[in-house]
Amino acid sequence: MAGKGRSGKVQSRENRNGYLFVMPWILGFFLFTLLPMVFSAILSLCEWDIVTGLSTIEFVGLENFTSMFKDPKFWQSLKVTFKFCLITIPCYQIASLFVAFLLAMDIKGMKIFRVVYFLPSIIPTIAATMIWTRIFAQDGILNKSLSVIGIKGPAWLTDRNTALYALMIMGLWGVGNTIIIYLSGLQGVSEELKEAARVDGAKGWQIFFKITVPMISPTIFFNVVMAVIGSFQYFTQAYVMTEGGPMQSTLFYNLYLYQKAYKEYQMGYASAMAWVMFIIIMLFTMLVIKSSSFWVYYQNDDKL
Amino acid sequence: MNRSKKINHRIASILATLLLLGGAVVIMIPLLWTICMALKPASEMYTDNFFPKELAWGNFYEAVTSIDFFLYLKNTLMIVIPNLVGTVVSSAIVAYGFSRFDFKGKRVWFLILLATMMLPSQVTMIPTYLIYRQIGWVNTVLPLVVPAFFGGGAFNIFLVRQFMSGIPKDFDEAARIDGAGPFKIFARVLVPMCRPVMTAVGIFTFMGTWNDFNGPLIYLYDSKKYTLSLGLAFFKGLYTSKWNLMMAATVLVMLPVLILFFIAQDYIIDGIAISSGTKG
Amino acid sequence: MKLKRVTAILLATVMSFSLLAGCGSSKKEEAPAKDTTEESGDAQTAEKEEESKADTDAGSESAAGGEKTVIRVTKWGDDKPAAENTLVEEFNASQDAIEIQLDVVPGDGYGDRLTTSFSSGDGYDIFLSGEGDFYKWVDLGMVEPLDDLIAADTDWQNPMGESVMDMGVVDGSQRYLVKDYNPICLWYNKDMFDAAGVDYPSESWTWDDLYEAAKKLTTKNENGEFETFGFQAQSWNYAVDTYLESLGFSYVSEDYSTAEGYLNSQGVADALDTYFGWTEGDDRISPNAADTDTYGDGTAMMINNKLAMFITGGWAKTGLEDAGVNYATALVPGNHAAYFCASGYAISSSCKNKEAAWEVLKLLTGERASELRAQNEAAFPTAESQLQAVVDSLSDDQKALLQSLDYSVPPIGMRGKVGSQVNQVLGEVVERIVYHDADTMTILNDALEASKQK
Repeated sequence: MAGKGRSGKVQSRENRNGYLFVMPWILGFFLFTLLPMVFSAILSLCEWDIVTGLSTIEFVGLENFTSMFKDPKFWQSLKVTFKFCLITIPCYQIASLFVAFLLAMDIKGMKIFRVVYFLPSIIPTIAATMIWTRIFAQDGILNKSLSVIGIKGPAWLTDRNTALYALMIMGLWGVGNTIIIYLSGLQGVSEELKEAARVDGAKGWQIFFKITVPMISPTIFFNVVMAVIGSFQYFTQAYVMTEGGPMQSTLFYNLYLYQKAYKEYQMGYASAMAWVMFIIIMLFTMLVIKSSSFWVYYQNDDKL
Repeated sequence: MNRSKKINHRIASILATLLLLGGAVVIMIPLLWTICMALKPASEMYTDNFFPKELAWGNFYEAVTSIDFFLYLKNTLMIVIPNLVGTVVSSAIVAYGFSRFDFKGKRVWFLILLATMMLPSQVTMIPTYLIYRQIGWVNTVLPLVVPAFFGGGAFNIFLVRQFMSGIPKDFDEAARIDGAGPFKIFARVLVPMCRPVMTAVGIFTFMGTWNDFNGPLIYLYDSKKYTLSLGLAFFKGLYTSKWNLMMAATVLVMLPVLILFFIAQDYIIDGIAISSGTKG
Repeated sequence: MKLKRVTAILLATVMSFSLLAGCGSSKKEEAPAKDTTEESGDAQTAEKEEESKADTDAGSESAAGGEKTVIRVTKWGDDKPAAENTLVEEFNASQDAIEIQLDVVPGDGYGDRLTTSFSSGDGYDIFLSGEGDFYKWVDLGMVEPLDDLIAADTDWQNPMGESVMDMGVVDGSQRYLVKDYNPICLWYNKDMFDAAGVDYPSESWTWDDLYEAAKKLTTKNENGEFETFGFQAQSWNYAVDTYLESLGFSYVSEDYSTAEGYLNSQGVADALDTYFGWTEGDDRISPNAADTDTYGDGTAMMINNKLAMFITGGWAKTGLEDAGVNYATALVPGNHAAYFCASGYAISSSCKNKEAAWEVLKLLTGERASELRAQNEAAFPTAESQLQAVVDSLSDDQKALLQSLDYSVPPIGMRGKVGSQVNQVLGEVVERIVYHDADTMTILNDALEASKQK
């Protein structure tokens, strides 16, 4: 891809400058990131109680992987995580794009709205947990509102059929960051192009799908890739709110992994799980990247 | 036609405002509740009334005095500010490299960049800790600050890179013809244009570092070095929690982020002038 | 070829950077030549012990002073300063041989801090543990036996009574010195009893009596919604197990050798069914998990006159008193057997200066420590001399807290290996029973099998 049909001199300049600018990250990668990754890869073939210190690491081959595939909790956590991802990745993206679209409008008082929609993502988890537990309670605000329209809501977090959905609903409050990214992407959409289409008689929704969406497709691409990477590793809220319960209905993959590592001190097993997750995420990310040539439009020839 | 367009625009505005208003009410509930709890006495934590019967302003005083609030605030800022500077600057530099130069191995490096985010951090946490311990950085802010200067994390690099890729290379060309080198193009052309996304990176970094619990927990041993997020956790005891004090402290902790965002959003929206005039 | 050069430059930079970083830290460690690798754990030989001071976990500035032995202590804490803060301050100022570094960690992060700091094989010298983990740490080999240190220290005047001392014994060896303990008993809201015209719990109460009283204390409003609950049948294992113990059941045999026929006995199964049955249906007398999400935990519910009785420990005192609740305590019904909670300090097996650590351990659990704790902490102090002061301060309504000590039994996690194994599966047992995942006997049989795998 690089350097095709270019003179050696130009290419060498590109190499020099390119590496010069990405050098900080490459350095950081070798200094802080690579070793821990390699270490965890090695650990996935070992047994280690963590708290007993490094001297107690023992090589066990593929044992972690074989026992993992026989572990029903492993499969349960995979199921929960996939279900969560399949639903939330598209839903959150559509919702945030929609809100960002509204927030990008030039309306009085919009500054306040932007702050309001960003607010939920800044409440520290520890406080948010307490509040959400009560919102989802049997007699909580959510069910009280539902009863107004005649629906008798469940005890969201203590009902094994609804706990996962409760977390999904709660997650909507955390999409502030995604909204901001879409908002900044929408700033780049050319008014002239939209105007020209309007003159040609295009309707609002046509403009949106034919002009706005393609123009922000690099931003959509970014958000989708990050959503894939992030959703498969969903952890914090499940950890503090449900601890995987009730009846393992919110036992997310990374939560189970954490429990294995830090509650049962099986770092080897946890590392093996982590690498399986790595491969899963890698596969899905590659899928998005491969598909991007059909739907992502770059200003420059910047395809990944 | 002009008039009908105006009417259309007005209808759209009203509709959007109504939608946003409805959403805002729903979205504000958790926040409003946080504030209400911050103003309630402990005995009203679980009573039916949403609003406090009597405003317990004393909670704020108690919250900042029962933990070393201002010390923790200072410590937090000592971590947040370098992180902010390091991340915003270095992520833009690295993103520039990825977006503007066709160096050998770029695609592979970029995939590696993405891959660094795919391994659950729960398993890299301890190896990372061991490395920092080996070089004597434990119980200092260095592990929480220094990495920010090396690209500031894959997420930010990727984000800025995407944004830069949306800026036509014609600008670089124009500057190059005027005799500008790669550094000058970066500083004079791309950085000004990337202001919206760099602001977003700044906000995310600020928020992430401000609320980070695990990092300080693991690396800062000495309680005199603790940050606000660790301080907040002190209100949650093993058996009994002082929710009202925690909420009061939470409100105080959130305020700076709020103010920052209120100011910063101008920079996010400001980008219009530059990029939309030029694109397309 | 160009790429190779780039790589070479890169590697050189990386190496020089790590060298730089290494130098930066070596000024603290004094001994840069001692290039400890990641396998340093197995190199904990005698010769290393000599330079122990220089090699305590990074962050200690022990080497700088040269003379003081640094002992690193960690405990969990909350927003109030603990007795340890005062103790350490006084101790460090009083002598020049030992310097204590005390790290107080928020409860939410304590486990993770402990795990990471010990991952290098060189963590804290002294750490605090709850009784539920006493066995676990010993089993992992993290806890130094104290017997030799105690035997060698002929001057030591043990301030603790025998029963308190024994709380820190695991498998016949003294591993912990308990810093405080907390018997659990029945707490009730006197106003609610008065309003309902129900007699207060008495020493002769059986669980049937409690149930009858609770039924009278449970009320609904005109819409059929619960206004008050009589008793909280919590899912918290200590409350569940206290119920079983006071009925004469136990999960393990008396000599702690087996759970077979105990954990999965018909009696235990029936008792559990009865207990959790109280939280079910429209005629329930106890709030269920969904109710506590709405109204808060037992303490919060009692404060708001929503709950008449529950089983808990002394930590509930402050909350109830601050809210002005007219409460009292009573012995648990039945044979009064109740669990106690305790927390104790241990010297970690990786500690390199055990004698110094022993001095610190004595300080943390000694007379003065008890005196400080007696002043402002809810739990009972361990020193016998101080206990009396606390006992005298108890009102008649709080006396049962102390009386239940005479009936207290060690929590399941402290009953040997089998008990510890059972303890690890109990959470799942309770969850499965509450959610009717299977027949209770089946669940208990599963749990027995699962416990053997732990």
